[in-house]
Amino acid sequence: LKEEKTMKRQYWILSILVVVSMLLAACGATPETVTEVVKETVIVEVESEPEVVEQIVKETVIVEGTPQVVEKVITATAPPPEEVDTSKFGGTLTLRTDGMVQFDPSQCADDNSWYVISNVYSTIYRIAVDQSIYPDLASSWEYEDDTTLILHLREGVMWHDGNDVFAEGESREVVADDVVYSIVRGVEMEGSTLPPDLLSGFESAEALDDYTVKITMKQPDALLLSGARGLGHIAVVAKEAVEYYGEDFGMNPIGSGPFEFVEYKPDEYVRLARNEDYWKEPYLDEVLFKIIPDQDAALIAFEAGEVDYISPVPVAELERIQDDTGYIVATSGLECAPWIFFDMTVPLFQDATFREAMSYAIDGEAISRNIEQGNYAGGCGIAGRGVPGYDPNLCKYFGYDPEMAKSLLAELGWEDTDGDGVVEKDGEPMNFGLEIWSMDTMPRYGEAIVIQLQEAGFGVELQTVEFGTWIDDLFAGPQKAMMASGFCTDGGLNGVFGRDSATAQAMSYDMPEVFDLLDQANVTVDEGQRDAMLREAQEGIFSQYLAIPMRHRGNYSAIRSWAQDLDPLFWTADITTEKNNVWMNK
Amino acid sequence: VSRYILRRLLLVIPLLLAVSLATFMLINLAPGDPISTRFGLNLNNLEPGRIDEIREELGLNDPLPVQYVRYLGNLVRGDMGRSLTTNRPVSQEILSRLPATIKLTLAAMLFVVFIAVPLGIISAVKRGGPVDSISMTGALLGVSMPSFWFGIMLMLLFSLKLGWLPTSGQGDGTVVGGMKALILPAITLGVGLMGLVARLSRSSMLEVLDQDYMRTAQAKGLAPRLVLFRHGLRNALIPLVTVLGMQFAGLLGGAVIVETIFSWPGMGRLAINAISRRDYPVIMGTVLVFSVVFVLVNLLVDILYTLIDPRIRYE
Repeated sequence: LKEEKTMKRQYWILSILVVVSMLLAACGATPETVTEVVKETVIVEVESEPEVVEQIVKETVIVEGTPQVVEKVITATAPPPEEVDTSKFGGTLTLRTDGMVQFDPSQCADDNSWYVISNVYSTIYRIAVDQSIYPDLASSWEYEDDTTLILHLREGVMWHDGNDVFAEGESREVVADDVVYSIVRGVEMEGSTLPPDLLSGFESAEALDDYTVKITMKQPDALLLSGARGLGHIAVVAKEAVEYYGEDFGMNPIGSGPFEFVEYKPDEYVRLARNEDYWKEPYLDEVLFKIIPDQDAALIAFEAGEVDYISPVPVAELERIQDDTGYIVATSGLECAPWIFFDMTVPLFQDATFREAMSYAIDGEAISRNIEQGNYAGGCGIAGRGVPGYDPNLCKYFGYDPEMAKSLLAELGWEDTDGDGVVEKDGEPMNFGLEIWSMDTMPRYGEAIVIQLQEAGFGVELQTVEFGTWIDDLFAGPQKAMMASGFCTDGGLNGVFGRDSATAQAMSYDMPEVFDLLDQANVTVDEGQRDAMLREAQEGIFSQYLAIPMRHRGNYSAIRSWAQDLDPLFWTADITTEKNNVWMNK
Repeated sequence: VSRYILRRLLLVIPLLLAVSLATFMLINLAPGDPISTRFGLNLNNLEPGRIDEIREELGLNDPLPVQYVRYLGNLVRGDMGRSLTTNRPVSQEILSRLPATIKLTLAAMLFVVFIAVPLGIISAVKRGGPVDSISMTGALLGVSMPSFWFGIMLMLLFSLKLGWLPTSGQGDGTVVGGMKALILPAITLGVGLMGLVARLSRSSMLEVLDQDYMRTAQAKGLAPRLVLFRHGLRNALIPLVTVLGMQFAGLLGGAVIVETIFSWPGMGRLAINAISRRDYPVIMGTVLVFSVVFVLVNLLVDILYTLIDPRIRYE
């Protein structure tokens, strides 16, 4: 198509050149030429090269009433090829989600609802697929000092109008006071879902003028401008809307983002429509978040063309979908691994040799490969590839060797003396629990791990509970091993094993060196130094088998090829931003 | 009859009390806490001691009888509370889903009545013939097939391969779109019951066909069709109506799976989501509404008896 357009433009240029040359010819006509009328122009041959265009043109010219054929050779230099913008307005982008909760940014803890929030509201900045950040409401920012950040806001951004709060044509501009209000509201809200580092480190926010905000932190915060945490979680809300709707605010989002909220049909869909007044006009008429809880049904809907985007792609179907040219399979780059961790008040778990024996008994690579299939990405640790702290060599601690596991248990006095398959010590059989939650693939991991542990003689019982119970048990001090997944984004390491993290506290982890490194990493803005600290902290955790990871898995999304300029969703859905503007080539 | 209906309606009150008490006790006896489910790992963000304060504010620290009586008091005033996850009023959550579930269940029931009952009757009349064999084999398959599998198979055929029907949702807002969206979930929901009803209507009809009054009717020289429909079908319907009434409530429960597969925004999914998030007020609300629907359908069945069989009188 691009070639065809280039050719057309060349023809057009050449036609102009022909007409100009004829005019010149007319001006320079011999005295005997009385009249010259161009009757016909026939392009005989066109040769096209990257820069030089040459053509031979035969023209039928009437000179003093006698038709004559004149042959001309025209050479011209073509302008440098320009990017042809074939994008077009209109259409609906339909994205599959598996559920929605509510759309108050400060109370939102699920990605699906954030997809809506990130389109209805302006956020401070946006996050690219590679987790770098780029402007949204804040057009630029700079640090005044280690703890003071200055945000410069984009001018002329208006709140959505034609709703209960802002009547049609009576909206107002989004200003610095709105940003300050949104940050303070989020920080002070009870049970706020803003990242813990932002909540604990926030000192104050102040509007210096209508378009400048000054944010002061108690200490330097390396995650303040990160892709996964920090100010990325601040979606700017209007005080008028919060006050108008009160408790129902979460169901009536009014923002200043690229799309306006139209309706939410619970358990069915959320419909958004183009914000005509947005600073960058969205190509799409509508965005539809279709709620399809069943993964197989979602795949059928995708292949039937009813939805344009699904994530994740069922692992069993990944290869087939990848091979289909009608689909684009892409990964958000976020790699995670489930991992086992321990209640350190239990004497059994306090011995590093015991934990090491456990790790030898589990074939994490085989289990992950089997469960994840095409999703398998390898790699160990909390931080996935591309995330600060990622260490490609961390798997060296987690080889599979059941005989070594048995021999380490024997060193500790655990042996199967009665032949029942379970080791005993001082006449007491080993007995501990491994608790997992019942969502996604976790039960499959749990079953495989427990079978391998039991084969090596461990007296372990799998306890599968629903997520709420898992959380309760964790906070209650579970007296067992627990298994979790996720927390693999930047800041996740601190979120899981930081001094004040829920898991480290609940499981009574006492690892002063790791805590110090993670604390230090949190206030180190230099990326290289921080990465080294986080790697050292991971080394400290995993070399002591304080946690046992499975292997990283990818996060594949499938996009219909007609949905142009759409990247895999992270925890936000970037549909019309400074960097992209999705359109439908349907 | 009106006194009977009134009496039956009044009986709903103690029944609902019993159901609400049982549900309330079961929810509270189950392990876990709605606060931790709501906040997840963010629970750590709350100030120390604040969890107890929130529990106090929500009345979760009160003795269970106090909590129960307070719930009933609010219920009488039409307040079912607010969802702990969405913060929307429970009544609003239920009202936004109930019509979808009723629509789906009624469509499934219509599918059963208009396909399974005639099939059963034809099988009985043509006993031992090919129609009987084929329909009874089909009925057996219908009973045996799990709905989650059957639903996906239908979707693969009619949505993906043929492109005739949508995979999910309630349609595009038009009547035709709505009807098209209803077909696959209704068939999936009804197919199990269809097998049961086809077999039951066949055996019921066979029993009736053997009765003396049928032979008398034939001996009187009545047209075979008249004998079959006026004397046979009417008598065979009584056990069928009982089963259909009872199964209507069963369909409401079975709708949970079908609603999930076909993304049908009904009560089943609301209940399942509420249970997984320990959204106590929504769990209570959905169970109560299911109970009311169940009772009302049974009342309707009892009233239908009087229309089918004039010998039945309620006093």
